[in-house]
Amino acid sequence: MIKVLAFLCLLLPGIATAEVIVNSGVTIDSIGRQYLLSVFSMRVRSWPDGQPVRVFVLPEHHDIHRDFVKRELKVFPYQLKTMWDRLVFSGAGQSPVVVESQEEMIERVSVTAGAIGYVVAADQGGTDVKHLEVK
Amino acid sequence: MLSIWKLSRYLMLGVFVSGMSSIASAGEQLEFNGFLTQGYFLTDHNRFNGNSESGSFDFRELGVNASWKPSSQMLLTGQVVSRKAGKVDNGDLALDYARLDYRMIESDMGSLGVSVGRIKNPFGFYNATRDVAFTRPSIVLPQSLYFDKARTLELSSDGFMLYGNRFFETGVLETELVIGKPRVDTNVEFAYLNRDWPGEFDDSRGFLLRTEYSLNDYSLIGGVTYGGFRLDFDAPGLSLPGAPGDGTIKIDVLVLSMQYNLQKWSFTGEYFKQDIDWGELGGVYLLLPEVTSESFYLQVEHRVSPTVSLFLRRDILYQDKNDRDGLTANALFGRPPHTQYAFDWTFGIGWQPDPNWLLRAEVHNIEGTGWLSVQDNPDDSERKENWNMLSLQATYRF
Repeated sequence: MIKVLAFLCLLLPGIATAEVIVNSGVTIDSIGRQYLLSVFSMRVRSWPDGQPVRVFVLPEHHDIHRDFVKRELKVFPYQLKTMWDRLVFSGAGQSPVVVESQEEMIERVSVTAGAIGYVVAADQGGTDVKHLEVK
Repeated sequence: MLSIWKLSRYLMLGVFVSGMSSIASAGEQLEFNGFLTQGYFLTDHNRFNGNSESGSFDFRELGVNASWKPSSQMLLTGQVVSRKAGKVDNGDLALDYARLDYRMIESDMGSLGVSVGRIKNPFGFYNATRDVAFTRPSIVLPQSLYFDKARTLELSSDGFMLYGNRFFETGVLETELVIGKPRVDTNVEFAYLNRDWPGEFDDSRGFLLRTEYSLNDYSLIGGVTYGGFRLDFDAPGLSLPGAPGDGTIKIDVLVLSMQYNLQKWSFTGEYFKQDIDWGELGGVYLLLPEVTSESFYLQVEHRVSPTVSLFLRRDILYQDKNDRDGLTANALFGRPPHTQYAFDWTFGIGWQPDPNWLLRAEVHNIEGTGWLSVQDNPDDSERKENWNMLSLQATYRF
């Protein structure tokens, strides 16, 4: 029974997890989960090499966004939203840039220095982004 | 009708926004955010945010902020807020914060930074963004802790802030220390002296230290806020009987905060203790030179869906923890006992039809008048101990 369910899960579309992508100029290859949440919750301003961090996300009700936040950041989307609002409206930080589609995400991350975002793994050959391993 | 003065303030806001817009073209890392909130309050007795006994729309919050990141270490932010709330706030534009921030250390282990300017006071879970409806769990924040009647003192301080966070295996520790001059105005006199005496608070200083530890998934968050304020009262030469003289009020605060978050549920509780020493002022304050207030609330939120949420809250305030039934205050000052406490049941619903819109409705059932403002309820004898309130709110953000 479990094997059948597992097989069915593989067939379901949208079950693939989004992966973290960064601009190819970002000099790290992997990232710890706490640090990743710090970056996506807009608390980190610069990468270890000094480049400014630019965060790109999909709209808050987008399935890929909700799935990425739960699986990779290990918080619920409402918690991430609360973290952003508290920073922005107390003068402690800025909001992420919201893009409308995965295509736009890849495009913006590839041309923006220090950019980070996420996409559901697909063939990204030819674009100027790299995948970050989450440790 | 808007007075010329108010009109000029709104024009200033326009100039501020358009001025910042022109800078926007200079750099990409500049952004604007804002909010507009309209509330409605209806009470069967007592007044909250205007003449609520006949239904009051006299509650509006408007804010615009801008932030600019000129380099990877620097951030410049500012926000102006206009708040109209009955006779407590008149809607004039005020600079809520204006802050230059420098991130000194940043790594995958944590960070350390310093800010100067006008800085939001870190106090409990909600204070730093208390006027932004989207960050509140309800229309009215629990009044026993986030009392709107003395809000100016709680809003922001002119000074500096040191802050940092440190990652540990199980979670993250975040700490903020603000040292500076808290803002004071006539409302602070009403709240701490219970009336607008001749004279005024002409100086202030204080600090707030807030530390929070959160598990990695932010399921459990525990926090402590500790702080002290000193407010100098400057009395005129000729004083009324019982009036305060020159002197300093000493206020020490302690907040313990705890929150547990699940996908559909959040449980929040905060405890607040405030020691007030006003003996130095003399006058009527010598009758009870020191007082300690105590309050707490417990709140359950349920997210029915990503756009609809419900909450239930119990909020309790004792103005003097050694006079919980208010009889001592009644004997000393002749005030009705119910002005010394408040027990509030609140049930509310929130709906976000769109990410930029938030609509809320809530009902309160309250015993006691401890957190009602003197400005809206000047006559103690007209206050009723048991009362109910319905409030509605619409907010738009951009």
